[in-house]
Amino acid sequence: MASEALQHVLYVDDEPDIRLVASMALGLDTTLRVDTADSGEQALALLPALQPDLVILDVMMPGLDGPSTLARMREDPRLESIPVVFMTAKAMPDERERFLRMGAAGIIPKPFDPMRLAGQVTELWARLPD
Amino acid sequence: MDPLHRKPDSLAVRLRELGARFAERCLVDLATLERGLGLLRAGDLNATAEIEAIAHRISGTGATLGFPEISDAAAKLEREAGPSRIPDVDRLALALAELRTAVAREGQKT
Repeated sequence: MASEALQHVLYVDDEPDIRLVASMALGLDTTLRVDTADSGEQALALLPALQPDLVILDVMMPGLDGPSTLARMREDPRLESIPVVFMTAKAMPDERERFLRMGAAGIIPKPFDPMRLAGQVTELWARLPD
Repeated sequence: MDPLHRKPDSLAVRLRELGARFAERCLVDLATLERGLGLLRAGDLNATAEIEAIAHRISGTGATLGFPEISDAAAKLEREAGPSRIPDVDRLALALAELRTAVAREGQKT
């Protein structure tokens, strides 16, 4: 992965304003295609066709939250290898460890800086193993 | 995506617009939270779930859009309404009052 440029991201968050800001912020990287979903359920419905390079999941969402969505992805052979990054306001060390043990490729703390988000995601991507 | 969204200056403009919209919406949310507190006083313990959800949204959105005081006050209200606590109406009322003060103060900057 790190040897290939990040091209396509699915951003998943139930809050419309945050979704819009994140989408615009990621779009500052003009090479990046950004799709969005408003729930874990919608993400799971979209993912088989979208097949993004990376999924960014809000941790706290009604219905399927971020960790549950990741668990479902790992049970689906079509989605199991897509890296997932969590976004969370609960970025305490023990929570971080828990999310990483679940299989998250990284954690981006909330609130995020819209002007830096694309760079943070690109850096996380670059650190992923091939 | 609109190509204009890809420019940082355009993003800053949109963030200001969203900030103004957020401040207006906070006033509506405060009214909903007041109603929730009223329900809780009347014995409807389920009202805490809605209070927690609204407070969570205000906290997260406020922090991202540049309203740290509102965000912090909403986070406190979210904690007070959270499932790990037995609902304490007086503490919730205090947290809501602090949120109202934060919205009045910080919401004016938009």
